[in-house]
Amino acid sequence: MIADLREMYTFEFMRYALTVGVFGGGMLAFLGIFVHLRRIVFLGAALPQITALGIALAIALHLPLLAGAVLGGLVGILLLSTSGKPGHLPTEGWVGIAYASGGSLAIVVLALSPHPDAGALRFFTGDVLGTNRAEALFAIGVAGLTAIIFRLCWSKFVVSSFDPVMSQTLGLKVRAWNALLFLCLGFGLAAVMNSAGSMLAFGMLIGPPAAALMCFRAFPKVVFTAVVLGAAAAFVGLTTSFLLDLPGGPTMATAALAPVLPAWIYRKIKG
Amino acid sequence: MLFRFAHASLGYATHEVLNGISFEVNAGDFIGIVGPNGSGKSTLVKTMLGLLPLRAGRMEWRGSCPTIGYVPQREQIDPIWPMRVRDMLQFTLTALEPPHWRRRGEHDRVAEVMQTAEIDALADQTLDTLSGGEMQRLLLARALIVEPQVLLLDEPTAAMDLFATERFMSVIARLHREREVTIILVTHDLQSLAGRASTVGILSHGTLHHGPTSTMLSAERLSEVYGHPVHVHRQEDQLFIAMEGVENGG
Repeated sequence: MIADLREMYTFEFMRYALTVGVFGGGMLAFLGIFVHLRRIVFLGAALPQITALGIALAIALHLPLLAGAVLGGLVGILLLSTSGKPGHLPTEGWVGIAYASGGSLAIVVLALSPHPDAGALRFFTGDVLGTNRAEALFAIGVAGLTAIIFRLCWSKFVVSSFDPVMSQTLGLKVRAWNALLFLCLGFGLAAVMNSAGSMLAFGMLIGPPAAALMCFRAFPKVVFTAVVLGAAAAFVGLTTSFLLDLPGGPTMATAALAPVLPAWIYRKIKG
Repeated sequence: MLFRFAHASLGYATHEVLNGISFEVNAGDFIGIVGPNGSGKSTLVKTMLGLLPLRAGRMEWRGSCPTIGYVPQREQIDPIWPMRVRDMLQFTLTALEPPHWRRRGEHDRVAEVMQTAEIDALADQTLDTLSGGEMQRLLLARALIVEPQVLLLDEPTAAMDLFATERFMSVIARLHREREVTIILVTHDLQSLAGRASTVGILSHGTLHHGPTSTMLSAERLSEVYGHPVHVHRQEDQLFIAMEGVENGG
């Protein structure tokens, strides 16, 4: 078994896919804790769609895909964080519009693209095996930077997210900390989306932190569990997809969401 | 004088909520602010906290602005956050410090404020296990973390039972008495002001009327503000208030 695993990961494409899965997945699982606690899961669903639109535009305009992913993510965050004011439409309405229009426009743009790319659909179906070295390094870099930022400013992120009004009265720059959190989220999604697609990105963002939050009621345990589950899901999903000849991204996303059911049962039993 | 409004107009960019607001707060005062729903209590609180700009007039603090401890309504707190009581206080304290790499030990200040707010026995409980009264005392402890000169409390005893209200108010009264913290209490609970607040401000018809508690919490004043006949009976420091005619729509 070990020998099989070793052999499996002698392939370069498998190692790159695993790198993006472990680092990107662990990072998104961590950021997903804030997505759940701030009750902005819908925003977490819409952002990958807008990022996908950025990637599609990059393909159509013959630009680097990574630039499209990052730009799409950042524009999405900018739009969604300022929505909800004009037109008396609740924020959820704007998030829904962004979700639907981002995904559909991305496919339309690809169909109209003057530079057809046979591999373009992998960003939507989540063919993580197409990951290259640059994408893997980008995922490591973003995950490392996110870890450093949060290690340094952990309590500022928690307090400004937990009670923004009180934080403002204490002199915390809530808008700046929100912007930094969303910036990390935008780059994190771009790092995973760019190589593994929206399905995996959203699965990692939602599944592992949901399971961790249902099992534990203290931050250190929640963070540790979410990150470990995210990274483990990448390994288990990728290995399973290779052995059973399944699509990599969706299998990894399934592995990321799999702990939710046992965590829910555990919470029900524990009360 | 610690703080004052002078001919201030309060509200939002599109509409004015309160106008002609002029009143002073002295260091060590205990002031109650009351008023019917929609009278502008939240607007006043937000303006005092600096979250809403003045539309006109002046808001002045003596010297530099003192440290304000803000105690919101407990409904603003989301108990799904995975934190113990001591964690929430520790986070608040460390959030005010410069970014740091190494985790520091628990501050003495956390233990001190837990004791002051009478929640030291709850230190290891998570937010979702606290009762309404306990949560409100935790929010008070969090406000005390910054060693405030002024405590601004926004309807802290709303929907709290009698025992929890009395316990909470006794902590506030002790802080006022022993530490000379200036208290500004925005509330619906008129009874809790009797025997505690020296001055009461009543928000009504877009402005603030203020004066000594005994004058402001009189039957005539309250009847005028609430638009219903109000009966007030005083017994030592206790205040009993009854409103007639509400059930008949009168």
